[in-house]
Amino acid sequence: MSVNNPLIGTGLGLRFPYFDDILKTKPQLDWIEVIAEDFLMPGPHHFKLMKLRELYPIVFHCVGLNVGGIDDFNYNHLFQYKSLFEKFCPLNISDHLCWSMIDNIYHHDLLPIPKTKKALLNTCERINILQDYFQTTLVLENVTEYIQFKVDEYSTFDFLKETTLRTGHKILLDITNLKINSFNHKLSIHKMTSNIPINEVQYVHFSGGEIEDDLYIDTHSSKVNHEDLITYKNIFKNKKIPVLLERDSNLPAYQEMIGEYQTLKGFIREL
Amino acid sequence: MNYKSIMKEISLSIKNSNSHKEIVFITKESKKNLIQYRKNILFHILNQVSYVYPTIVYLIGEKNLFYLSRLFYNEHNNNHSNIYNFISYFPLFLESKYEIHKDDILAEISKIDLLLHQSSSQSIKSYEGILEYWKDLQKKKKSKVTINFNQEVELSLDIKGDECYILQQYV
Repeated sequence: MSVNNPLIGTGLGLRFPYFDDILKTKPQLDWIEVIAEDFLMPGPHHFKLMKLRELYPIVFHCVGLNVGGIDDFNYNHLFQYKSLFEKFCPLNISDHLCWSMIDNIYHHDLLPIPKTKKALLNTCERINILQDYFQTTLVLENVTEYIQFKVDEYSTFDFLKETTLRTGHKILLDITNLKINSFNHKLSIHKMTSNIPINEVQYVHFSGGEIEDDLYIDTHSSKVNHEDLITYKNIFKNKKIPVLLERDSNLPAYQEMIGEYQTLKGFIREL
Repeated sequence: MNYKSIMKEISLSIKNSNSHKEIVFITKESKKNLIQYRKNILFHILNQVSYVYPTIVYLIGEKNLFYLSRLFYNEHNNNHSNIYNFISYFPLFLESKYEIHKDDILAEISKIDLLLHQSSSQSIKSYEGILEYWKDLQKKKKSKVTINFNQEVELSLDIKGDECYILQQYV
């Protein structure tokens, strides 16, 4: 743990099918990432999360703050998040550098922001509003971008670098998203990442995608592969940035998932 | 075209599954990929519906559930910031589909799934026999319980720690 980074080591993304097993077997995990939207509604799962919170440090990962959107923030919605954060005291709060709602229609997907100068100003203003409201420094993730806009004035990571510099938010670098964008748009990973402010990266996501009809899709459905680990090594050199293993579909059995976690943890430790 | 107009166009295109050929603001090479966002959203909704309504999955299977989820998404604008609130309208949607409602009791079963998922102090009105019918399905057996549509019951939750129990009261 450093002054700027409350995380250390390797985390695991909490998914409901593993919830009871984790509480029962208490595996050695450095920390757990919890999807905030899974807990916006109160209920017995809050009781379980409190038990989990007693066992492990947690971070909240959001998918619905609509960071890059243009509609006014819905403060009833934001209050739900705030109540959740105050109840469970996460080590950090993250979301994505994207938008997900417009004209009061929610898409519940991570849509890419057209990277223009005006969009940059709008996004920075909204990040500042969120950081003031939650009284914290947000951690923002690069998303999968299946499309590219003709109007783009920044590359993905130049845009991310600017928002970081202007608002002070930290970065959650998703290696899989990076690789997917590189594959789909025939971009060099080295060139894409040469501008990342490495010191601002708080942690790294590893998930796993699949190629369908020549399109690399962010399915979160496969094991971390060696190539992704090499990418991590190339970007961070000798720095050990905390990492998180996340999986959303094609979920393996619990013990297998813990095995994958330990493999990833071992790799990072031996770097 | 400014970035706000582009975002609005994308939103409409995803929701209405418009022809992407007419969209001019996306690079030629990546235009065909826009459909992936609609696929993602449908997959996400299907996942959430499967999670909240497991008994419905058991009754009709994943393929039919996907069909219904897509219909649900196409027919309803999602104005809910929390996807669970959007998904909570699924029983009403099932009720509105006459051809489904006539043949079985999907809507009533889905209400019980939702009640259990919400795990709050809410209650629902249904019919005598429905709870036993639903309990049989939990045990993965086709129920032979007869539903009495002339007798209403109120179902509510009793929460103890991390466990929930469904209580039944005659109206």
